[in-house]
Amino acid sequence: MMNILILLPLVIPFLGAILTLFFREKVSFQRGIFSVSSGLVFIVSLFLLDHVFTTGVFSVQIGGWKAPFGITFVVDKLSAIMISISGLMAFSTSLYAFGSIDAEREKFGFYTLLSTLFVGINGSFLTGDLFNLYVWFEVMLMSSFVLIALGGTKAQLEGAVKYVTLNLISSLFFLVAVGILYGIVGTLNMADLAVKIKMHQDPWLITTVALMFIIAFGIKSAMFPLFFWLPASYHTPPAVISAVFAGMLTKVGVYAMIRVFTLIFTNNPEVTNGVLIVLAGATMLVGVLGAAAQNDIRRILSFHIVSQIGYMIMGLALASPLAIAGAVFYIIHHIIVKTNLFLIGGIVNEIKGTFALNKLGGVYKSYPLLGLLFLIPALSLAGIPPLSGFWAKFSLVKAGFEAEAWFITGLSLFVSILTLFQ
Amino acid sequence: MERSFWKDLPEGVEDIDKFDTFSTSKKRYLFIPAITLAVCTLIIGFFTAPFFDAAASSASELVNNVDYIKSVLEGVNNGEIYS
Repeated sequence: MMNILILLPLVIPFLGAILTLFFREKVSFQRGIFSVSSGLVFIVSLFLLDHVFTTGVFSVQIGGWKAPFGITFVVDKLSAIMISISGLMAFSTSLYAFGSIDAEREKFGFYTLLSTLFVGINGSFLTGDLFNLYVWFEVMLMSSFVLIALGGTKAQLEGAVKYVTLNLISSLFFLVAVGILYGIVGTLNMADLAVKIKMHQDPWLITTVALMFIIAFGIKSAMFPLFFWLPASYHTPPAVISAVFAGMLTKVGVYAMIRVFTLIFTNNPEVTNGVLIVLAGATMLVGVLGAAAQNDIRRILSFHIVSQIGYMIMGLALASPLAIAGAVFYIIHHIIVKTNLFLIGGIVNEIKGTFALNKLGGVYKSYPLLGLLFLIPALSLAGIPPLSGFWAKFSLVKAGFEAEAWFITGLSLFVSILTLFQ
Repeated sequence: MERSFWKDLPEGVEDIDKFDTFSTSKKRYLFIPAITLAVCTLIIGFFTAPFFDAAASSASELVNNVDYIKSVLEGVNNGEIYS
Protein backbone atom coordinates (compact mmCIF):
# COMPACT_ATOMS: atom_id res chain seq x y z
CA MET A 1 0.00 0.00 0.00
CA MET A 2 2.76 2.47 0.99
CA ASN A 3 4.61 1.62 -2.24
CA ILE A 4 1.72 3.04 -4.18
CA LEU A 5 1.04 5.89 -1.75
CA ILE A 6 4.57 7.31 -2.03
CA LEU A 7 4.22 7.58 -5.81
CA LEU A 8 0.76 9.13 -5.85
CA PRO A 9 1.93 12.75 -5.34
CA LEU A 10 3.70 12.30 -8.69
CA VAL A 11 1.22 10.08 -10.51
CA ILE A 12 -1.95 12.03 -9.67
CA PRO A 13 -0.87 15.44 -11.03
CA PHE A 14 0.84 13.71 -13.97
CA LEU A 15 -2.40 11.95 -14.92
CA GLY A 16 -4.22 15.23 -14.28
CA ALA A 17 -1.87 17.01 -16.70
CA ILE A 18 -2.50 14.39 -19.40
CA LEU A 19 -6.26 14.40 -18.85
CA THR A 20 -6.52 18.18 -19.13
CA LEU A 21 -4.92 17.93 -22.59
CA PHE A 22 -7.93 15.93 -23.80
CA PHE A 23 -10.31 18.73 -22.79
CA ARG A 24 -8.54 21.72 -24.31
CA GLU A 25 -11.74 23.51 -25.28
CA LYS A 26 -13.70 22.52 -22.17
CA VAL A 27 -12.29 24.75 -19.46
CA SER A 28 -14.74 23.58 -16.79
CA PHE A 29 -13.47 19.99 -17.23
CA GLN A 30 -9.89 21.20 -16.88
CA ARG A 31 -10.78 23.09 -13.72
CA GLY A 32 -12.50 20.02 -12.28
CA ILE A 33 -9.58 17.75 -13.10
CA PHE A 34 -7.03 20.12 -11.58
CA SER A 35 -8.95 20.79 -8.37
CA VAL A 36 -9.76 17.08 -7.86
CA SER A 37 -6.16 16.03 -8.53
CA SER A 38 -4.70 18.68 -6.22
CA GLY A 39 -7.26 17.81 -3.53
CA LEU A 40 -6.33 14.12 -3.85
CA VAL A 41 -2.62 14.92 -3.57
CA PHE A 42 -3.33 16.84 -0.37
CA ILE A 43 -5.27 13.89 1.10
CA VAL A 44 -2.52 11.43 0.08
CA SER A 45 0.10 13.72 1.59
CA LEU A 46 -1.71 13.63 4.94
CA PHE A 47 -1.56 9.80 4.89
CA LEU A 48 2.16 10.00 4.07
CA LEU A 49 2.68 12.49 6.89
CA ASP A 50 0.88 10.23 9.35
CA HIS A 51 2.81 7.15 8.20
CA VAL A 52 6.23 8.80 8.40
CA PHE A 53 5.60 10.32 11.83
CA THR A 54 4.38 7.01 13.25
CA THR A 55 6.59 4.48 11.43
CA GLY A 56 9.66 6.37 10.22
CA VAL A 57 11.45 6.89 6.91
CA PHE A 58 10.04 4.90 4.01
CA SER A 59 11.66 4.29 0.64
CA VAL A 60 10.78 2.58 -2.62
CA GLN A 61 13.11 1.37 -5.36
CA ILE A 62 11.81 1.45 -8.90
CA GLY A 63 13.23 -0.02 -12.08
CA GLY A 64 14.10 -3.55 -11.01
CA TRP A 65 17.33 -2.78 -9.11
CA LYS A 66 18.12 -2.31 -5.47
CA ALA A 67 19.65 0.93 -4.22
CA PRO A 68 21.98 2.52 -5.18
CA PHE A 69 21.24 1.38 -8.75
CA GLY A 70 17.45 1.67 -8.84
CA ILE A 71 15.41 4.85 -8.97
CA THR A 72 14.89 5.72 -5.32
CA PHE A 73 11.96 7.57 -3.83
CA VAL A 74 12.16 8.37 -0.13
CA VAL A 75 9.69 9.98 2.19
CA ASP A 76 11.03 11.22 5.50
CA LYS A 77 9.52 13.79 7.85
CA LEU A 78 10.84 16.80 5.91
CA SER A 79 9.68 15.55 2.51
CA ALA A 80 6.27 14.54 3.95
CA ILE A 81 5.82 18.03 5.41
CA MET A 82 6.82 19.63 2.11
CA ILE A 83 4.50 17.40 0.08
CA SER A 84 1.59 18.26 2.40
CA ILE A 85 2.14 21.99 2.02
CA SER A 86 2.56 21.57 -1.73
CA GLY A 87 -0.84 19.79 -1.84
CA LEU A 88 -2.47 22.54 0.21
CA MET A 89 -1.00 25.25 -2.01
CA ALA A 90 -2.04 23.44 -5.21
CA PHE A 91 -5.62 23.16 -3.97
CA SER A 92 -5.85 26.74 -2.68
CA THR A 93 -4.36 28.28 -5.77
CA SER A 94 -6.56 26.16 -8.03
CA LEU A 95 -9.64 27.82 -6.52
CA TYR A 96 -8.08 31.27 -6.86
CA ALA A 97 -7.19 30.53 -10.49
CA PHE A 98 -10.85 29.80 -11.28
CA GLY A 99 -11.71 33.35 -10.26
CA SER A 100 -8.78 35.16 -11.78
CA ILE A 101 -7.23 33.45 -14.79
CA ASP A 102 -8.57 34.54 -18.16
CA ALA A 103 -10.16 32.07 -20.56
CA GLU A 104 -7.35 32.42 -23.12
CA ARG A 105 -4.72 31.23 -20.68
CA GLU A 106 -6.99 28.41 -19.53
CA LYS A 107 -7.40 27.21 -23.12
CA PHE A 108 -3.68 27.44 -23.74
CA GLY A 109 -2.94 24.78 -21.15
CA PHE A 110 -2.74 26.70 -17.88
CA TYR A 111 -3.96 23.74 -15.80
CA THR A 112 -1.77 21.27 -17.72
CA LEU A 113 1.27 23.38 -16.99
CA LEU A 114 0.35 23.95 -13.36
CA SER A 115 -0.15 20.19 -12.88
CA THR A 116 3.23 19.53 -14.50
CA LEU A 117 4.81 22.12 -12.23
CA PHE A 118 3.49 20.29 -9.18
CA VAL A 119 4.78 16.97 -10.60
CA GLY A 120 8.25 18.56 -10.66
CA ILE A 121 7.87 20.06 -7.18
CA ASN A 122 6.65 16.81 -5.61
CA GLY A 123 9.29 14.81 -7.48
CA SER A 124 12.00 17.06 -6.05
CA PHE A 125 10.71 16.44 -2.53
CA LEU A 126 10.48 12.66 -2.91
CA THR A 127 13.55 11.70 -4.91
CA GLY A 128 16.45 9.97 -3.21
CA ASP A 129 18.87 10.48 -6.06
CA LEU A 130 20.77 13.60 -7.13
CA PHE A 131 20.42 13.03 -10.86
CA ASN A 132 16.68 12.54 -10.51
CA LEU A 133 16.59 15.74 -8.46
CA TYR A 134 18.14 17.46 -11.47
CA VAL A 135 15.47 15.94 -13.73
CA TRP A 136 12.63 17.09 -11.44
CA PHE A 137 14.18 20.57 -11.36
CA GLU A 138 14.08 20.61 -15.15
CA VAL A 139 10.43 19.50 -15.16
CA MET A 140 9.72 22.47 -12.87
CA LEU A 141 11.79 24.83 -14.98
CA MET A 142 10.10 23.87 -18.26
CA SER A 143 6.57 24.26 -16.94
CA SER A 144 7.36 27.40 -14.94
CA PHE A 145 9.00 29.03 -17.97
CA VAL A 146 5.87 28.51 -20.06
CA LEU A 147 3.63 29.61 -17.18
CA ILE A 148 5.56 32.84 -16.69
CA ALA A 149 5.44 33.61 -20.43
CA LEU A 150 1.83 32.47 -20.96
CA GLY A 151 -0.05 35.51 -22.18
CA GLY A 152 2.88 36.84 -24.17
CA THR A 153 2.99 40.44 -22.98
CA LYS A 154 6.29 42.28 -23.39
CA ALA A 155 6.88 42.48 -19.63
CA GLN A 156 6.17 38.78 -19.25
CA LEU A 157 8.58 37.77 -22.01
CA GLU A 158 11.24 40.06 -20.56
CA GLY A 159 10.74 38.52 -17.12
CA ALA A 160 10.65 35.02 -18.56
CA VAL A 161 13.97 35.47 -20.38
CA LYS A 162 15.67 36.66 -17.17
CA TYR A 163 14.06 33.83 -15.23
CA VAL A 164 15.04 31.08 -17.63
CA THR A 165 18.56 32.39 -18.29
CA LEU A 166 19.56 32.41 -14.62
CA ASN A 167 17.82 29.11 -13.97
CA LEU A 168 19.62 27.50 -16.91
CA ILE A 169 22.93 28.69 -15.45
CA SER A 170 21.86 27.09 -12.18
CA SER A 171 21.02 23.86 -14.03
CA LEU A 172 24.43 23.95 -15.70
CA PHE A 173 26.22 24.24 -12.35
CA PHE A 174 23.98 21.52 -10.94
CA LEU A 175 24.68 19.13 -13.82
CA VAL A 176 28.44 19.76 -13.81
CA ALA A 177 28.55 19.27 -10.03
CA VAL A 178 26.55 16.05 -10.34
CA GLY A 179 28.94 14.83 -13.06
CA ILE A 180 32.03 15.61 -11.00
CA LEU A 181 30.51 14.01 -7.92
CA TYR A 182 29.72 10.85 -9.87
CA GLY A 183 33.27 10.83 -11.22
CA ILE A 184 34.70 11.12 -7.68
CA VAL A 185 32.39 8.83 -5.72
CA GLY A 186 30.75 6.62 -8.35
CA THR A 187 27.18 7.01 -7.15
CA LEU A 188 24.41 9.58 -7.13
CA ASN A 189 22.07 7.89 -4.70
CA MET A 190 21.92 10.34 -1.80
CA ALA A 191 22.02 7.73 0.96
CA ASP A 192 24.92 5.94 -0.76
CA LEU A 193 26.70 9.29 -1.24
CA ALA A 194 26.29 10.03 2.47
CA VAL A 195 28.16 6.82 3.29
CA LYS A 196 30.84 6.95 0.60
CA ILE A 197 31.72 10.64 0.85
CA LYS A 198 32.76 10.19 4.50
CA MET A 199 35.35 7.62 3.35
CA HIS A 200 36.77 9.80 0.57
CA GLN A 201 40.44 10.68 0.90
CA ASP A 202 40.31 14.25 -0.41
CA PRO A 203 37.82 16.35 1.59
CA TRP A 204 38.76 19.55 -0.28
CA LEU A 205 37.70 18.07 -3.61
CA ILE A 206 34.35 17.23 -2.06
CA THR A 207 34.15 20.74 -0.56
CA THR A 208 34.73 22.27 -3.99
CA VAL A 209 31.81 20.26 -5.37
CA ALA A 210 29.75 21.32 -2.36
CA LEU A 211 30.41 24.97 -3.23
CA MET A 212 29.18 24.28 -6.77
CA PHE A 213 25.96 22.95 -5.25
CA ILE A 214 25.67 26.15 -3.21
CA ILE A 215 25.83 28.13 -6.47
CA ALA A 216 23.31 25.87 -8.22
CA PHE A 217 20.77 25.77 -5.39
CA GLY A 218 21.59 29.35 -4.40
CA ILE A 219 20.34 30.57 -7.79
CA LYS A 220 17.21 28.39 -7.51
CA SER A 221 16.43 29.73 -4.06
CA ALA A 222 17.32 33.35 -4.98
CA MET A 223 20.24 33.67 -2.60
CA PHE A 224 22.67 36.60 -2.72
CA PRO A 225 24.32 37.50 -5.11
CA LEU A 226 22.32 35.60 -7.74
CA PHE A 227 18.83 36.65 -6.66
CA PHE A 228 18.03 39.41 -9.15
CA TRP A 229 16.16 37.15 -11.57
CA LEU A 230 13.39 36.78 -8.96
CA PRO A 231 12.24 40.39 -8.48
CA ALA A 232 12.77 40.90 -12.22
CA SER A 233 10.35 38.15 -13.16
CA TYR A 234 7.84 37.33 -10.41
CA HIS A 235 5.86 40.54 -10.91
CA THR A 236 5.09 39.83 -14.56
CA PRO A 237 2.64 36.87 -14.67
CA PRO A 238 -0.91 36.85 -13.21
CA ALA A 239 -1.07 36.90 -9.40
CA VAL A 240 -1.94 33.23 -9.04
CA ILE A 241 1.17 32.14 -10.97
CA SER A 242 3.34 34.55 -8.97
CA ALA A 243 1.78 33.16 -5.78
CA VAL A 244 2.67 29.55 -6.65
CA PHE A 245 6.18 30.56 -7.69
CA ALA A 246 6.70 32.75 -4.61
CA GLY A 247 5.37 30.13 -2.24
CA MET A 248 6.85 26.97 -3.65
CA LEU A 249 9.68 27.35 -6.16
CA THR A 250 12.34 29.09 -4.09
CA LYS A 251 11.54 26.73 -1.22
CA VAL A 252 12.36 23.74 -3.44
CA GLY A 253 15.84 25.27 -3.78
CA VAL A 254 16.09 25.70 0.00
CA TYR A 255 14.80 22.15 0.51
CA ALA A 256 17.48 20.81 -1.86
CA MET A 257 20.12 22.76 0.01
CA ILE A 258 18.94 21.45 3.39
CA ARG A 259 18.86 17.90 1.99
CA VAL A 260 22.38 17.87 0.53
CA PHE A 261 24.05 19.83 3.34
CA THR A 262 22.60 17.67 6.12
CA LEU A 263 22.94 14.33 4.35
CA ILE A 264 25.83 14.48 1.88
CA PHE A 265 28.24 17.39 2.37
CA THR A 266 28.90 17.14 6.07
CA ASN A 267 32.66 16.56 5.94
CA ASN A 268 33.87 20.17 5.99
CA PRO A 269 31.20 22.22 7.79
CA GLU A 270 33.60 25.03 8.76
CA VAL A 271 33.90 26.01 5.10
CA THR A 272 30.44 25.20 3.74
CA ASN A 273 28.52 26.56 6.72
CA GLY A 274 30.83 29.58 6.85
CA VAL A 275 30.05 30.38 3.22
CA LEU A 276 26.35 29.78 3.81
CA ILE A 277 26.19 32.08 6.84
CA VAL A 278 27.85 34.97 4.97
CA LEU A 279 25.47 34.48 2.03
CA ALA A 280 22.49 34.19 4.40
CA GLY A 281 23.31 37.54 6.02
CA ALA A 282 23.83 39.28 2.69
CA THR A 283 20.62 37.75 1.29
CA MET A 284 18.42 38.91 4.16
CA LEU A 285 19.89 42.43 4.15
CA VAL A 286 19.89 43.01 0.38
CA GLY A 287 16.36 41.65 0.08
CA VAL A 288 14.87 43.96 2.68
CA LEU A 289 16.77 47.02 1.35
CA GLY A 290 15.65 46.22 -2.19
CA ALA A 291 12.02 46.06 -1.06
CA ALA A 292 12.25 49.57 0.41
CA ALA A 293 12.88 51.06 -3.03
CA GLN A 294 9.89 49.49 -4.79
CA ASN A 295 6.48 50.82 -5.76
CA ASP A 296 4.80 47.68 -7.14
CA ILE A 297 3.18 45.37 -4.56
CA ARG A 298 4.53 42.24 -6.26
CA ARG A 299 8.06 43.60 -6.52
CA ILE A 300 8.05 44.47 -2.81
CA LEU A 301 6.86 40.97 -2.00
CA SER A 302 9.47 39.51 -4.37
CA PHE A 303 12.32 41.33 -2.61
CA HIS A 304 10.91 40.15 0.71
CA ILE A 305 11.13 36.56 -0.55
CA VAL A 306 14.85 37.12 -1.08
CA SER A 307 15.19 38.55 2.41
CA GLN A 308 13.28 35.67 4.02
CA ILE A 309 15.31 33.06 2.13
CA GLY A 310 18.28 34.45 4.07
CA TYR A 311 16.65 33.42 7.35
CA MET A 312 16.11 29.86 6.13
CA ILE A 313 19.73 29.59 4.96
CA MET A 314 20.82 31.02 8.32
CA GLY A 315 19.09 28.09 10.04
CA LEU A 316 20.83 25.60 7.77
CA ALA A 317 24.22 27.29 8.25
CA LEU A 318 23.97 27.31 12.05
CA ALA A 319 23.40 23.56 11.68
CA SER A 320 22.18 22.79 15.22
CA PRO A 321 18.95 20.78 15.60
CA LEU A 322 17.15 23.92 16.88
CA ALA A 323 18.43 26.01 13.96
CA ILE A 324 17.40 23.45 11.36
CA ALA A 325 14.02 23.07 13.10
CA GLY A 326 13.71 26.85 12.86
CA ALA A 327 14.56 26.73 9.15
CA VAL A 328 11.98 23.99 8.51
CA PHE A 329 9.34 25.89 10.51
CA TYR A 330 10.27 29.05 8.61
CA ILE A 331 9.70 27.24 5.31
CA ILE A 332 6.24 26.05 6.44
CA HIS A 333 5.28 29.54 7.64
CA HIS A 334 6.73 31.33 4.64
CA ILE A 335 5.08 29.19 1.95
CA ILE A 336 1.64 29.87 3.46
CA VAL A 337 2.18 33.55 4.23
CA LYS A 338 3.92 34.54 1.02
CA THR A 339 1.46 32.69 -1.22
CA ASN A 340 -1.37 34.45 0.61
CA LEU A 341 0.21 37.90 0.28
CA PHE A 342 0.51 37.44 -3.48
CA LEU A 343 -3.10 36.24 -3.66
CA ILE A 344 -4.28 39.27 -1.65
CA GLY A 345 -2.16 41.56 -3.85
CA GLY A 346 -3.96 39.96 -6.80
CA ILE A 347 -7.36 40.69 -5.23
CA VAL A 348 -6.36 44.35 -4.75
CA ASN A 349 -5.38 44.46 -8.42
CA GLU A 350 -8.66 42.82 -9.46
CA ILE A 351 -10.63 45.46 -7.54
CA LYS A 352 -8.50 48.57 -8.06
CA GLY A 353 -6.92 47.68 -11.40
CA THR A 354 -3.31 48.29 -10.31
CA PHE A 355 -0.44 46.93 -8.26
CA ALA A 356 1.23 50.35 -8.03
CA LEU A 357 1.34 51.74 -4.49
CA ASN A 358 1.30 55.36 -5.68
CA LYS A 359 -2.08 54.74 -7.32
CA LEU A 360 -3.61 52.90 -4.37
CA GLY A 361 -5.18 54.06 -1.13
CA GLY A 362 -8.16 53.63 1.15
CA VAL A 363 -8.51 49.91 0.48
CA TYR A 364 -9.15 49.23 4.18
CA LYS A 365 -11.98 51.79 4.34
CA SER A 366 -13.80 50.20 1.41
CA TYR A 367 -12.90 46.58 2.17
CA PRO A 368 -12.14 45.99 5.86
CA LEU A 369 -12.18 42.19 5.41
CA LEU A 370 -9.51 42.48 2.73
CA GLY A 371 -7.53 44.77 5.05
CA LEU A 372 -7.73 42.18 7.81
CA LEU A 373 -6.80 39.39 5.41
CA PHE A 374 -3.73 41.40 4.40
CA LEU A 375 -2.82 42.28 7.97
CA ILE A 376 -2.60 38.66 9.19
CA PRO A 377 0.09 37.44 6.76
CA ALA A 378 1.84 40.84 6.68
CA LEU A 379 2.26 40.95 10.47
CA SER A 380 3.26 37.29 10.44
CA LEU A 381 5.91 38.00 7.81
CA ALA A 382 7.25 40.84 9.97
CA GLY A 383 7.48 38.46 12.93
CA ILE A 384 4.88 40.00 15.23
CA PRO A 385 3.99 37.70 18.17
CA PRO A 386 2.17 35.38 18.42
CA LEU A 387 1.90 34.87 14.65
CA SER A 388 3.82 32.11 12.90
CA GLY A 389 6.64 34.37 11.66
CA PHE A 390 7.49 35.30 15.24
CA TRP A 391 8.06 31.67 16.27
CA ALA A 392 10.10 31.02 13.14
CA LYS A 393 12.38 34.00 13.83
CA PHE A 394 12.44 33.37 17.57
CA SER A 395 13.76 29.83 17.11
CA LEU A 396 16.42 31.00 14.66
CA VAL A 397 17.53 33.86 16.93
CA LYS A 398 17.62 31.49 19.92
CA ALA A 399 19.69 29.03 17.89
CA GLY A 400 21.97 31.89 16.86
CA PHE A 401 22.55 32.94 20.49
CA GLU A 402 23.15 29.33 21.53
CA ALA A 403 25.75 29.00 18.76
CA GLU A 404 27.25 32.36 19.80
CA ALA A 405 26.85 33.56 16.22
CA TRP A 406 26.39 37.15 17.34
CA PHE A 407 26.78 38.94 14.02
CA ILE A 408 24.25 36.92 11.98
CA THR A 409 21.82 36.89 14.90
CA GLY A 410 22.07 40.66 15.34
CA LEU A 411 21.69 41.14 11.60
CA SER A 412 18.60 38.93 11.53
CA LEU A 413 17.02 41.05 14.29
CA PHE A 414 17.93 44.27 12.46
CA VAL A 415 16.41 42.97 9.21
CA SER A 416 13.29 41.97 11.15
CA ILE A 417 12.87 45.56 12.32
CA LEU A 418 13.36 46.84 8.76
CA THR A 419 10.73 44.36 7.52
CA LEU A 420 8.32 45.59 10.18
CA PHE A 421 8.69 49.20 9.01
CA GLN A 422 7.93 48.23 5.42
CA MET B 1 2.52 47.93 1.40
CA GLU B 2 0.33 48.88 4.34
CA ARG B 3 0.08 52.35 2.74
CA SER B 4 -2.23 51.04 0.03
CA PHE B 5 -4.67 49.87 2.70
CA TRP B 6 -4.56 52.63 5.30
CA LYS B 7 -3.54 55.86 3.61
CA ASP B 8 -6.01 57.91 1.60
CA LEU B 9 -6.07 57.70 -2.15
CA PRO B 10 -3.40 60.06 -3.58
CA GLU B 11 -4.72 63.27 -5.11
CA GLY B 12 -5.41 63.17 -8.81
CA VAL B 13 -5.74 59.39 -8.88
CA GLU B 14 -9.07 58.08 -10.09
CA ASP B 15 -10.77 55.73 -7.59
CA ILE B 16 -11.42 52.59 -9.60
CA ASP B 17 -13.59 49.95 -7.96
CA LYS B 18 -14.54 46.85 -9.90
CA PHE B 19 -15.74 44.75 -6.95
CA ASP B 20 -19.44 45.19 -7.74
CA THR B 21 -18.87 43.89 -11.24
CA PHE B 22 -17.58 40.55 -9.89
CA SER B 23 -19.90 37.56 -10.02
CA THR B 24 -20.62 35.77 -6.72
CA SER B 25 -18.57 32.76 -7.81
CA LYS B 26 -15.60 34.99 -8.68
CA LYS B 27 -15.76 36.60 -5.24
CA ARG B 28 -15.82 33.15 -3.63
CA TYR B 29 -12.94 31.86 -5.72
CA LEU B 30 -10.82 34.90 -4.88
CA PHE B 31 -11.56 35.10 -1.17
CA ILE B 32 -11.86 31.46 -0.04
CA PRO B 33 -8.17 30.61 -0.65
CA ALA B 34 -7.02 33.87 0.97
CA ILE B 35 -9.24 33.26 4.01
CA THR B 36 -8.10 29.62 4.23
CA LEU B 37 -4.43 30.56 4.18
CA ALA B 38 -4.99 33.39 6.69
CA VAL B 39 -6.70 30.89 9.02
CA CYS B 40 -3.74 28.50 8.53
CA THR B 41 -1.39 31.36 9.50
CA LEU B 42 -3.41 32.03 12.66
CA ILE B 43 -3.56 28.32 13.57
CA ILE B 44 0.20 27.88 13.14
CA GLY B 45 0.80 31.04 15.17
CA PHE B 46 -1.62 30.43 18.05
CA PHE B 47 -1.20 26.64 18.23
CA THR B 48 2.49 26.47 17.40
CA ALA B 49 3.53 23.49 19.49
CA PRO B 50 2.50 20.59 17.19
CA PHE B 51 3.87 22.37 14.12
CA PHE B 52 7.15 23.25 15.79
CA ASP B 53 7.41 19.72 17.21
CA ALA B 54 7.01 18.36 13.68
CA ALA B 55 9.73 20.71 12.43
CA ALA B 56 11.99 19.77 15.37
CA SER B 57 11.37 16.08 14.77
CA SER B 58 12.22 16.44 11.08
CA ALA B 59 15.34 18.43 12.03
CA SER B 60 16.57 15.72 14.38
CA GLU B 61 15.99 13.17 11.59
CA LEU B 62 18.06 15.37 9.26
CA VAL B 63 20.89 15.78 11.75
CA ASN B 64 20.92 12.08 12.60
CA ASN B 65 20.33 10.54 9.19
CA VAL B 66 20.95 6.88 10.04
CA ASP B 67 17.29 5.97 9.51
CA TYR B 68 17.30 7.59 6.07
CA ILE B 69 20.42 5.71 4.99
CA LYS B 70 19.21 2.40 6.45
CA SER B 71 15.84 2.71 4.78
CA VAL B 72 17.39 3.24 1.35
CA LEU B 73 20.47 1.02 1.45
CA GLU B 74 19.51 -1.75 3.83
CA GLY B 75 15.85 -1.97 2.97
CA VAL B 76 14.74 -1.15 6.53
CA ASN B 77 11.08 -0.14 6.37
CA ASN B 78 11.47 -0.39 2.63
CA GLY B 79 9.01 -0.93 -0.20
CA GLU B 80 9.12 -3.75 -2.71
CA ILE B 81 11.26 -3.45 -5.78
CA TYR B 82 9.25 -2.90 -8.91
CA SER B 83 10.37 -4.45 -12.18
